[in-house]
Amino acid sequence: MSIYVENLSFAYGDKQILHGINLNVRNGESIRIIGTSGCGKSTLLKLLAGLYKARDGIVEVQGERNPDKIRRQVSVVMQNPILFPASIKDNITCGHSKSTEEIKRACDAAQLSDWIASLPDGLDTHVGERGGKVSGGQAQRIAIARAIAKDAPVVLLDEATSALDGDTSKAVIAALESLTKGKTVVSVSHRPDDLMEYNRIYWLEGGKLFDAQQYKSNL
Amino acid sequence: MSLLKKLLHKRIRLVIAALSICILSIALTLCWNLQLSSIINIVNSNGIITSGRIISAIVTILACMAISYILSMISGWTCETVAHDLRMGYAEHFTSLSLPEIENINSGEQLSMLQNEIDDISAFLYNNLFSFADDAVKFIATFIWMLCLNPRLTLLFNMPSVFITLYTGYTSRIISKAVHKSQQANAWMNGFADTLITVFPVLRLFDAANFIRVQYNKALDQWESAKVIEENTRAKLMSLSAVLSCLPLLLLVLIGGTQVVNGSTSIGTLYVFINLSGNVSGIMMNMPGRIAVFRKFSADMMRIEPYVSIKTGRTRK
Repeated sequence: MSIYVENLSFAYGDKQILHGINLNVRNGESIRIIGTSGCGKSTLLKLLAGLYKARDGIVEVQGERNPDKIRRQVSVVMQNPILFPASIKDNITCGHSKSTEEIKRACDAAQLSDWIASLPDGLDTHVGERGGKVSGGQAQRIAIARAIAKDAPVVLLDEATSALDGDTSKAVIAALESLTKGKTVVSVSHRPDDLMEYNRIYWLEGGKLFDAQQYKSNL
Repeated sequence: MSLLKKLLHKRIRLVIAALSICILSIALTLCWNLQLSSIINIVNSNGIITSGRIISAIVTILACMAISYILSMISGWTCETVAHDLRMGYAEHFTSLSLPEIENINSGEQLSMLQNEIDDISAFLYNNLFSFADDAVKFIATFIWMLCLNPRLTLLFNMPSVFITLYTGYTSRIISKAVHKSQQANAWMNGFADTLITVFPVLRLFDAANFIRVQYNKALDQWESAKVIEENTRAKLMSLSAVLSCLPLLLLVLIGGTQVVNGSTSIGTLYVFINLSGNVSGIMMNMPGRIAVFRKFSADMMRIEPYVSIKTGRTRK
């Protein structure tokens, strides 16, 4: 089992966000969790990413329960990509030693190579404060290249396709497909779309997780 | 410096009032020194000082005191008002921004600006703005008055001042560049600290703490080296300025003393020259420091100018 969640509950202080969540995702399987804003999707994703520690229940990713170890097993791509005020290369490697070949492969997969080749400083181009010197689509693909370079078995997508516009969406979708190929994928979003294919779709409401098909038929 | 012009223009009545009192203050000081010179000359020639002369001197001293108090109050009020306008203009700029513009603001850099540049500008306005104007009025009025009393002595003892002024102009430009660089490095470092908070989740997920530490240390090193260069430059250039600035007083004592011995000038005039030399050569002596402070103020103003909205219409207060 790639992701195993049992009876997970989470609260911010007195405010209960998640109640008794159970989830099993096999290796290489991709699932989507849909829910309205504020329903706890991002909180669940942060628990799966090892950014938060589960107080009640079990979160196990690739056999690991310790958040520090879980973080090594996951890559996360967010709706608003956060870049370091450094070069494109540093943003992809995060300071870890990666071969030129590995970086090139990540750039190719993230549909960045043509754009980088057109830059005078290439991979050494500085992205500016908060990625201010690159466009939203380019920043998103740099963040995807970073996730590809990490080569973690589990990929978590937080509204990764929600803010795409016509010009950049094709390149970003292609980059996301490269990132998620053969990986376990959990994608959360506030609305359903058919940009990517998933094995299962869940609905998160009132802190509880429902199978989307079952939820629909019950309604 | 168009921002300073706008700020002063907004409070033009207060500024004119303060400048007028500056002029009145120096006129009274010169009047007192003229009376003092006469008293010293009378004492030197064993003459009798009349009660009318003493009363007149006392009235002048009291008027000097009163005008000094009024000057301090009006200039302080004006500076505080101008500093308030500046802060309001800074706040107004952000309230007029659109949501996407606000979202793209680097709050660390803006906080750094608010804590450093605007604080420094307010301090400069309060401590130096009218002191600069006062110095300028003192310098011009005293120099003209001295020229009328003893043109030869005035021109000779102030001759080095011309070279000192040129030198300070040159050094202040160099110091200003160094100050600007260190301020930029400081803003970059503070901006980086803010970015750390934003990138924190990514930093943990991609185990990038070491990388960020190295980047932050680079920013810290850049600021450190820029600050060291700034202080070194300031120390080297200003120490030579200080030595050069002593020359006018030495010349005054040498040439003026010789003129008194020759009988071509009175002891009262020389005393008044020494007494007022601070208004001419003293201002020169302080000029390197003053110009450096003004350059820093000017660099601060340039940095915040794009973030301040000042409505040019005059406001009553």
